[in-house]
Amino acid sequence: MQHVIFGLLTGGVLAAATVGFALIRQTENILHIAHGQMLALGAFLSVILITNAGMNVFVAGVVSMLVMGVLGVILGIVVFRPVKDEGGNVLLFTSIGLAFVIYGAIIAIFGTVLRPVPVGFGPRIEFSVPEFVLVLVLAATLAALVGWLLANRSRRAEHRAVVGRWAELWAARGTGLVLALATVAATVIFVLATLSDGFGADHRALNIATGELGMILLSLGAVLSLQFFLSLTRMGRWLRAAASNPALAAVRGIPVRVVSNVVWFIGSALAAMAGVMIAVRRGGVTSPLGWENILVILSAAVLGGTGSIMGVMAAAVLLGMAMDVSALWIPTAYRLVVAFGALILVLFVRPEGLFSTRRRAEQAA
Amino acid sequence: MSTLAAISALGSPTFWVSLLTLIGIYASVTMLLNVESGWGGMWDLGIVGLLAIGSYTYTIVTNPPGEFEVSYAPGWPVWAGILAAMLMTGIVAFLVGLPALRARREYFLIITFAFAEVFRQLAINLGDLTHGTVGFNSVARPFESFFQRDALRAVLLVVTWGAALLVYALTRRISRSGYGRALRAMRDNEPAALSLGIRVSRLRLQTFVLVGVAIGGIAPLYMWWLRYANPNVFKAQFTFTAWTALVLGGIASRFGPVLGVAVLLLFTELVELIDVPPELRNVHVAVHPLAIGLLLVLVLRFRPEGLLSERRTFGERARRQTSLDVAMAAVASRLRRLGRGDAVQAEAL
Repeated sequence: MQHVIFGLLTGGVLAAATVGFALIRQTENILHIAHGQMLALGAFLSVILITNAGMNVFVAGVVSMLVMGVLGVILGIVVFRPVKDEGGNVLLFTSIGLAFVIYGAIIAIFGTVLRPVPVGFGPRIEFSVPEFVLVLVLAATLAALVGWLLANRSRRAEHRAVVGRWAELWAARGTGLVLALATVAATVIFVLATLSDGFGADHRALNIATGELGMILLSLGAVLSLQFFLSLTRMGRWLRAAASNPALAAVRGIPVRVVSNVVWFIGSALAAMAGVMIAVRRGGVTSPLGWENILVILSAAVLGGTGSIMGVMAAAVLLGMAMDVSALWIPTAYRLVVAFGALILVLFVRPEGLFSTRRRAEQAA
Repeated sequence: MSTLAAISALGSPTFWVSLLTLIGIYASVTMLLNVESGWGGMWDLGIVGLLAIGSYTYTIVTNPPGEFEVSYAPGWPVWAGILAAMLMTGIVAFLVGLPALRARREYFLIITFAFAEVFRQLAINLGDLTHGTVGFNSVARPFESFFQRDALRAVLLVVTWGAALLVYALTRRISRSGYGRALRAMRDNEPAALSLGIRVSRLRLQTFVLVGVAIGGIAPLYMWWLRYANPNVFKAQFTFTAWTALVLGGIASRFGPVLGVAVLLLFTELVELIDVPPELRNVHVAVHPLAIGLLLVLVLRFRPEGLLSERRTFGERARRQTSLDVAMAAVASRLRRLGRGDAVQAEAL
């Protein structure tokens, strides 16, 4: 079970990185290989801020996200906008070129030695298996209730329409409420049983450091707020319009360049955030960090398909789980082989990704 | 100091022999990549994976028994090692191609990229066969008993360029044949190619395996030049270097890959030769990736066709051929071979 927690952590961090990649892929039409290097650069930046400027890890993370976001916008304007109409392959290789430039810059500035990150994880929280299940069930219930309320009870029609699409995962129409009530009932029974220690639960079976818990919640929060930003705000609507049909969006007066800048900012900032988390979790950064991560990000993005942010997040968490939980049966050295094996297998059976709502749209294009 | 060291290295024949050999190897790989990606339209980001398979196969079967702590070391002669490498790489290309070629465009690219990394991870983890991250620090080379060190290097240079010439002749033959036209037709307009009777999926797999076998043949040359094998050699940087050279020289042109490789490697290797003070060491190491990256971005921005373009190679200066033209030409050449081309060609055009 401890592996599930590791998996949640890996998956959560991966989700933050992949969502930015997917956003850029869908709106800018770029397979952004340099995303991995942006992640690495963000990580290095935060490490420098922590060790040399003596900043708190959160402050360093936020500063690094802002700087990388701005850098992302600049790169988007200077590097990618001039070749925007040259087709996907030119954009892809421009991004690969950019990846090498950033990689070279990282080596030139920070060198090839390991840079340690002196950040602790805080005290460890210990809990039993039933308690862990309980927390998961509670979280699911909460999500179901919120989803159901937003989908069916919101006064604004666009909330119902937009939120409804992903809320169906948890709360498809009335069944969501039934499910939610059922889980609430189950939870109450669980609480009573655990309090009386009816299961003989071992309270030291699992543990998670507060820092790790914070990382999971942070990346979850980032992905969820991105989802709400996309579905509930005007900029989010513009963004989705520009993604699905740029020409039409431009004709309808949507400021497509502003939208594209916003995408670059969010995507790069999320990459930096994931980079900081990976740096802290590993306790150090080395120059190949970007290359090590880009393939996993690619895999998660492809597994998630081009449908929705939530699909990408689900795929990232699943992939993280698969990588860590498989350690029970397969030596950990084969983690990456497991991840890519899963990718190759999925592409073989479902070429459009696991959670793609636009079936076959890729192939028709 | 630094300039002096650089100049003395420039004068040494060893340096030039080594550099020219490397250019020959990269040129061969890039030309093969061009057949697959430039003409066939299969954008392969995993070319280094095939090279790794070939290199490891050759090194494992030719290493003398007992020299390394590995479970399998039959100590075959060099020629058998080359054949084994070609065969093995061909088989692996076939097995990779079967699933990978079902996917289109970016997905094909991702799958090949992933496969290359999987092979590298396997090379790290199957220590019993590959000696793990340490790898092999010696490689069996041909003619070792006949020549001294420097003479052997020169001989291997000649062998390498002989192989490169062979690959060039092959690509030249392909570019002028119905096969090459069919490839380009398939790349430009798949429905048209299909409707004109080109068996697209078979053609793809054929090309992928052909390129695999040829790369299996180049791999031993690379091993002779490098004289060691470990997983670090087969990182994605090799693939991207070949791709940069291809983009620089001109995708889908015939001589472009050779020119691109020569320009790129001359530049990066000469930079590497410069002796720098220790405080600039990092910048020095960074020049290689920086050069690759900047060249890719700038060439794609200002000269997307590369130094030598496809149109130049195929004499299409007057008018950009439409995809249908290429497809029609492919079919016409096939029919001509069957001896009933004239009527159909007249009708078609």
